[in-house]
Amino acid sequence: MKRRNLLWVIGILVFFFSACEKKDKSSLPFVKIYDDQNGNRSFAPLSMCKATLDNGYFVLSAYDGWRIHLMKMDKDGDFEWNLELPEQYVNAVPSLVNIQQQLYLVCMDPIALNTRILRIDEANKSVTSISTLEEVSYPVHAYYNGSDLYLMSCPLSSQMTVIHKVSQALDTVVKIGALSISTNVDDLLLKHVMHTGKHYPFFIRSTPENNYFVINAFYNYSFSTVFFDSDLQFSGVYNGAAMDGGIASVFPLGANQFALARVSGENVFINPNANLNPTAIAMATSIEAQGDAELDHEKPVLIKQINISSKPYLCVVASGSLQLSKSNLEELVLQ
Amino acid sequence: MRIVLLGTILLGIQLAYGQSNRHQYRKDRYFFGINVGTTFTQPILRERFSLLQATPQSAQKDFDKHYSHLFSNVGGAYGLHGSFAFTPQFSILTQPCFQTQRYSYMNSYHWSDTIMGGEVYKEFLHRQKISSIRIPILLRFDFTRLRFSPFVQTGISADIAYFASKQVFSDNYIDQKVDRKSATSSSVAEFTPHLNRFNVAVLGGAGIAYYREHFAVSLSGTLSYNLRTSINEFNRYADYTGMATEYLDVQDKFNLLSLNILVTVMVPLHKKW
Repeated sequence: MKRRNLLWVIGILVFFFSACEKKDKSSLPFVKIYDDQNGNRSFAPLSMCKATLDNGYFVLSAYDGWRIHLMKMDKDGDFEWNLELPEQYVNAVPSLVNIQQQLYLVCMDPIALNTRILRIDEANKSVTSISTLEEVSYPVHAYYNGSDLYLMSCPLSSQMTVIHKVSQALDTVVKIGALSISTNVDDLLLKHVMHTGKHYPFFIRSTPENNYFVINAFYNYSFSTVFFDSDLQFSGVYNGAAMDGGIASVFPLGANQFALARVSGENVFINPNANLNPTAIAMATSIEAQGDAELDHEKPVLIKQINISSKPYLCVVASGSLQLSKSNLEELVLQ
Repeated sequence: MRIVLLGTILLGIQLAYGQSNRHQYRKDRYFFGINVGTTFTQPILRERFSLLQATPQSAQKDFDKHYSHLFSNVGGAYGLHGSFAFTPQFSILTQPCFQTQRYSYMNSYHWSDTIMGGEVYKEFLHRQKISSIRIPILLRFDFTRLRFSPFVQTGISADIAYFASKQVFSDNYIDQKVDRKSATSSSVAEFTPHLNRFNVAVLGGAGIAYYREHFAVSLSGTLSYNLRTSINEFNRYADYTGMATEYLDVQDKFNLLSLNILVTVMVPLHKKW
């Protein structure tokens, strides 16, 4: 009888203490705001990527118009160090590029208006200019497809969008593809790079088969999604509605299937599995998609692939419309 | 007057001693009763968290919270008492009760307005209240077999939080003081989803009991320490209160230490009914 009582007591104690703290808290969610005493300074987020030396993150942003701010934080989001880049580097493109475990950022010289590629030295908490690309003016996007770096530029007064393939040494342009805009977009471009007006979702993506590039850029009186073949030759286009509509984000799935978000009027439309023809000449509004009136059409839309419990998901991240939802929380749509 | 007062005290002590000298038999008796008391609470900090991160461009080097001390965090407790005396001096008891634990902390922010000129100062007082059900199991040792008997007790308890709320008071001066009467206050927000609802506490304390044939009274002080942290780590930044957005507030990681002062009134029942 006494032994049975003892077992009961031990059982109760085991139950109680099993409820106590377990130590594995390796990846807890966090929200952080990085303080600046200057209450009037505002930052425009451009890009975020994982550090290569540890599990931390880099955040690239713009302040005072097109000045560049680079910040490093640890895996829990705690601040480690930051850099306000000198005035000779401005207009960072919204993509930190990881090339063979080395991080780079692409920006512009405000006097010569040409493009600089800077290497981020994580150990020494600094950036170093490694090359100047004289022929690339007003860069708006950079993309590394695993073997080559591609830059998109939109030189002032040229009425052209240019795609540049950069050499392996990152010091010269080895191939270009061009699109005629046929109208002057200088005002729109300057507002975009200075963060004083509409921010356009410029991007370059490649299909998993590497047979096409999907390019969001100014083209033919509109902001459109253009297909280039692997030789940077025009293949097809899904035109946006002048400078205000079109595709906001694309995630190529392969076999001409794409997850995408497009903007039409003041609504954001999402299709996680749309069939696009790379040789078509069509309107972006012709792509079937489901609209969501509570999403803010002026804010960026991101489509990322994430793994939850080893199962791949496509994650569409957009901002809620302040007027409709009374909040500016991000909305998550999982496929 | 002083002589009368001194005489009264001595008479009282003499009477009490005279009573306490009487043997009070407690073995094999059940005691049932009610208790009521006060709870003092102090968070024991394990890790600091802040939504706002200090950078070299910040006016402050950190945004640490400053917690108020144990005796400024007053709550209450009331509940039932049940005990059984194995021997005249050893007994096992439980005192399930509703209890309210409060804790508060202060923090402040400072920014410069570089366009209009001037400085912006904000100081906040955050007050939290956690209501829970406590179900303890305690072993008590009475030092004497007399009517007046000091005792010590120790045990564990299961704490189940069923509601928590939070309110923030703020003013525009950083002076380590926020007057709740004149400060701007937020509405009271429910804070329950941020908690670890179930907790385990270890208890230890002492007190004094007075036993009579048909009733008993005790006054006890019990320290309890929650073994689990109070805030759910996965919901820390979830902002169920809306105060992360409005006041840049996020809870630290801490365990709660409490001191319960309880008065218990009991009636004895013989084991042989």
